[in-house]
Amino acid sequence: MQRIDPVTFQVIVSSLSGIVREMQSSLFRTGYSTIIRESLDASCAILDRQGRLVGQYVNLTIHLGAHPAGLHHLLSRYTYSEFEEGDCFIVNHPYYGGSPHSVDMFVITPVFYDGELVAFCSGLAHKSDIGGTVPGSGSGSATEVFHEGLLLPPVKYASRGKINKEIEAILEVNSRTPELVIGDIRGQMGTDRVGEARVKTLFQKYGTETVMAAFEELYARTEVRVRQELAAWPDGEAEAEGYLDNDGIVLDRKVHLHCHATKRGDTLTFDFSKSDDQTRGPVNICPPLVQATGYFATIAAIDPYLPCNYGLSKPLRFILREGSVVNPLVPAPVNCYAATFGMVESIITDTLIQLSGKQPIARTGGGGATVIGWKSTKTGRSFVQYEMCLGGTGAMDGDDGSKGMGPRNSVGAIRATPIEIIEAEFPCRMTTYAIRPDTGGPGKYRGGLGTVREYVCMEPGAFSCRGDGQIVTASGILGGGAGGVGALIVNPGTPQEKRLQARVGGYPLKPGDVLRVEMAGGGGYGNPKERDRDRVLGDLESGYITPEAAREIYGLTT
Amino acid sequence: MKRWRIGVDTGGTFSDFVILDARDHKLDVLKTPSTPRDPSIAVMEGFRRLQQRGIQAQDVEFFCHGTTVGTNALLEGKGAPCGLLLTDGFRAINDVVEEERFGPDVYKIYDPSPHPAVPPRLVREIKERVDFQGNILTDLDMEQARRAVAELLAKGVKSIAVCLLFSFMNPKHEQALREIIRKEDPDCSVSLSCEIIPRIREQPRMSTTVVNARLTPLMATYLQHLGSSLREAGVETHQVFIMQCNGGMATFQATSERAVPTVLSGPAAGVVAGATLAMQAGFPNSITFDMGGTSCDMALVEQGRALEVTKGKVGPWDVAIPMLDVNTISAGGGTVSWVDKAGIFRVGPHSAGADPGPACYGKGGTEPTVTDANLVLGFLNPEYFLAGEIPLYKEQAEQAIREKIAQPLNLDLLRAADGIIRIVNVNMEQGMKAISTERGFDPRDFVLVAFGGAGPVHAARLAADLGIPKVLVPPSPGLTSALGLLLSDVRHDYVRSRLGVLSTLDENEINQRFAEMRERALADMKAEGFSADEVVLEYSVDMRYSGQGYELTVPLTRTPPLAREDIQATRSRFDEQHGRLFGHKAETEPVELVSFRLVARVPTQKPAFAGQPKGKADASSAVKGHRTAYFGGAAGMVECPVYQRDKLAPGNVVPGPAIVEQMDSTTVVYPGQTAQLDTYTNIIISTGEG
Repeated sequence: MQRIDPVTFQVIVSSLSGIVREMQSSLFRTGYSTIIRESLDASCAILDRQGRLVGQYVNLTIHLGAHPAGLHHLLSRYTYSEFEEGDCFIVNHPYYGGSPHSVDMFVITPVFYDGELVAFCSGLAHKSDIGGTVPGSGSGSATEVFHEGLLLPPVKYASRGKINKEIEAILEVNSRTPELVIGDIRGQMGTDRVGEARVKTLFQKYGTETVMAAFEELYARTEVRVRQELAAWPDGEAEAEGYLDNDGIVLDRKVHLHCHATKRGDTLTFDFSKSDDQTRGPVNICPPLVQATGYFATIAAIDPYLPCNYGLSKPLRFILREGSVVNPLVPAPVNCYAATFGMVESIITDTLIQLSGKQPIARTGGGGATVIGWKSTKTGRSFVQYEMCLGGTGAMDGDDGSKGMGPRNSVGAIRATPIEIIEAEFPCRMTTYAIRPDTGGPGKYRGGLGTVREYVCMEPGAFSCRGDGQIVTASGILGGGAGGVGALIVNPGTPQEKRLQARVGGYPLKPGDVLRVEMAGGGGYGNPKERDRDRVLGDLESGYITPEAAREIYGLTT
Repeated sequence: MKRWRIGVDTGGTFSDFVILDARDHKLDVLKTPSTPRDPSIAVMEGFRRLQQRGIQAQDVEFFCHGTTVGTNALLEGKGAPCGLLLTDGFRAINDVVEEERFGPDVYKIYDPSPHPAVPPRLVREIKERVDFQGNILTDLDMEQARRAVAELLAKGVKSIAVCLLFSFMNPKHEQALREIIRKEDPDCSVSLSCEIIPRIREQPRMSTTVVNARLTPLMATYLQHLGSSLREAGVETHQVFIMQCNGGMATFQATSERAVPTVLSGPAAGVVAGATLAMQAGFPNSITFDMGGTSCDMALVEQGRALEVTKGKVGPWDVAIPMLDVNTISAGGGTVSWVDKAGIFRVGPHSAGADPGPACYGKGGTEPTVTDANLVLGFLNPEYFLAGEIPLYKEQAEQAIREKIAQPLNLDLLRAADGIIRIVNVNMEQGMKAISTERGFDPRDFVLVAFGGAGPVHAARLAADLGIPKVLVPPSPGLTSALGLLLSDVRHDYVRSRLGVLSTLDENEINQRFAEMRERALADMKAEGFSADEVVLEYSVDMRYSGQGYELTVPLTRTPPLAREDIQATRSRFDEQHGRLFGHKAETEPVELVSFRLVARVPTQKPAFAGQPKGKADASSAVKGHRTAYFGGAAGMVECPVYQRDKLAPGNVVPGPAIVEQMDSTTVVYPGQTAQLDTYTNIIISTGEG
């Protein structure tokens, strides 16, 4: 390997991060579906010719393990001689493609310089609908991955710059919202092209050998940095576990997730063998998602500014039992991966907090996403209203949890869809967007509150939810209490009231029906009786806690 | 006789005065120490000192003030105690703070949770509801509203923000609330979202309205105070203005009623100045590059007009108003260089500030900064930095770089210092790409206008790396930003959202909407003392392809009233713009109109700098000496001439390598490059690119 001088190295690294950022901003700005443009559920990466991650602009930790997995599958199906300049591949298969679930679609572009394949640009973005049993494709009742929409292994979407219309035709007829899907994929391809041009310029400027050497140096330095930090921690073992409400199909059984972490020398091993077997319902997650939680927790424990690349993965080992909920076998369904991912991230973070001796953090309330598939009775047109919904976050020493958005919530940049956008674009009217008093786990520092949103349907719709946190609470720590649970209620407070569980597939809504989505709260930290009295009074005055809670839980006497 | 035009830029340490003599267009400058507790004290002190120079207050014909009072107050959590009224049922619009955590922030699990824009105890929900078409679904409950307002007033609020759902479609309820508030307390300041920013998306609209509500009483008091001080000092002119983030000015009166456009206005004057000076020198397309002690501000100017964005952030809060698209990055003279734990050579983002400052200031700083590197490389003159006001100590710069960079990385001193410059330059290069290539512009089509104390030191190399063919260094780089205060127009922005598919929109409705906005703009201007024939109106619309979520602002192809074909022409312009920015367009897809926009501008009389005829090329009489400097590569330190800027005359040619020194900055010309002075005594460096 050629040695590279430290200045040129840093200049190339800075340029690469600029490129990924440019790709990301291009992707957000051209997104058609509300998922990309309002919720920012998408990410971009540059990978080397072997598919190793060079750089990624992170707004979603969920995607940390995805891009290398996507490339792995692409490179196992195509030989280098089959790649040509201007080609573009799409992939959405959770098992044969590295995608978290079928609606997350990769668009991957090989980058050529001087006739040689030197890198790949990759974008991963959530699609509004890719077929399957329910609008939005994510059914809480799915029992096979085949229920979750069209599945594509890596296939050539564009050949030498020309879109393969056969592929586009397949996508078109398999989606309830073909314009959005095609629009988003073309936007993703445009984004890859931006990255391609920039990466090419970089190779032009510094030469293949130097840039490749910079990639290697980046991996090596990142790896050394992680190992040095780990070596400074005492050797040891840690365990953490958590539960999901159920798998969406077998309703009377919680799903157990467990991580046993071992730190020896400068390595970490995460063993999930004691986690449950794969489930019938769609709460399974594939290995790239578990790896992503490990990368997240490691960066969070070591240094938020640690570059994210292949080097980071080398000191980490994952033991994921085949046939378990964290390494399922085809055709186990996976579309409700988000809640499982959130819980795995919490427990893996807990193990590293123990091993590194950092401050503990209470658990965050279960979250997920809701989807209403609308079909206009007037025009026959289909709409998919997709919204991310997040639970209140956990408290820690010195800080209350936040309400959905904010730190200690790995989804980062995701925002709530604006009410005015929802009403202007979808046939429903909202009546409530509020906070839920007393749902923040009590404590010296209070857990984040759950929120509630209520919708009145104007047209028939099909409701799906990929959530959690109706049964299992976000636990508090060091004397702090658990957060409140969430709920999904149709026509609340009426004789027709119907409570739905957190995983729903295509529940029919009639015009006039009211849908109430209540999110769970986060866990509290420390004894609530020790909470600063001004904070208790402030919470009371803000309607964050009720007078009864103030008196009975917080011991407010005046 | 009225002859002085004065701009005052209040910064953290100094308040800069730029004084232009309208008779001969000579510039004069003055610095007074800033007085953060009451910034107007520094302004008045300046006037006292000007009098000693024979500049009488009553002879001032124009005054413009740039201030960070507002932005700082917000960031420090100050501002008027403010209440918020929201539509019943929707309090979480305020409770849930949408943060958008990107990059490293995602991993900061120990970061504190963000606070709502308004403390929840000062928020009340009002019984009312309007739908997305502007129909009233629930009438405003006047009695309940009155009680809510009374409760807030009883809690001591001095300002109330009102943000009701879809008020941009039907402002009736917000307007009725204003009447109620006025009745309860005529002194309470009121900010209605339908007036501050009538745009779809409740959360940023609320946040912007709250920022305005917190800021307006504060600014009103400040400006009232400053205004009366100015009058006491003898300033008689009515041309008294304040700078806004849109690059235009507003009267004190307009700002006292709606202060939000003054936030984030800090870098705007510099952009205006850079754009104007470049335009005058024959470069309508420019990138302004203002590099100071802690940060650098960059903006792209196309056809004399700086690009704008429709949203910014103050702390965690969205401010959704039109503002110049300025990219600020942490790269200045005081930016610190370091080697991180992975052994990677880094520059920034932290800064050594003014105290202790760079190691070479000799004030106890030990961290190597960009200024230290420039000194070691020979670009800066230790005896003539800021005209000798701050002596620089080269040994301390060398020691800092050697210990903190060269030794750990096993580099020699020169390469380490050069590395600091290359790395800070690449950071700025990324920043420039963010405003050029990321917006669909090729930086090679632009001239780089370099100012601020450090800009001209870095510009020539930066331009060469970006392929930019020419660099323009104005006559007084250190004062260029303040000069912008004398080059701006009075400007107000108007926006109205109205979501609809373009092809189904009736042109009469469009014309009607624009006519209303025009009326409002002319009325506002009239109230400020400008007649209709002074006002220039610029119309545009925000459009997107159906289904997209973010809009492009597209100028109309002609002044309304529009005919059907004008609307079609505007749509074609949208396709074209979309193609350029995002690399794809869809001419057959339906397009939605999201908002109407109107910019009302009153051009002020601006100084026309007189050019001088170009003289001889030979600049040898301006050479004040020689010294060695490192321009990269294997050549090591190279001897080069040092020129004195004020001795250079139009037409003079300065072949690189060369260094040009002046009181407020240093310009570096690299080997192979050539600089020439144009008729306005700008230094124009040809980088040999393009």
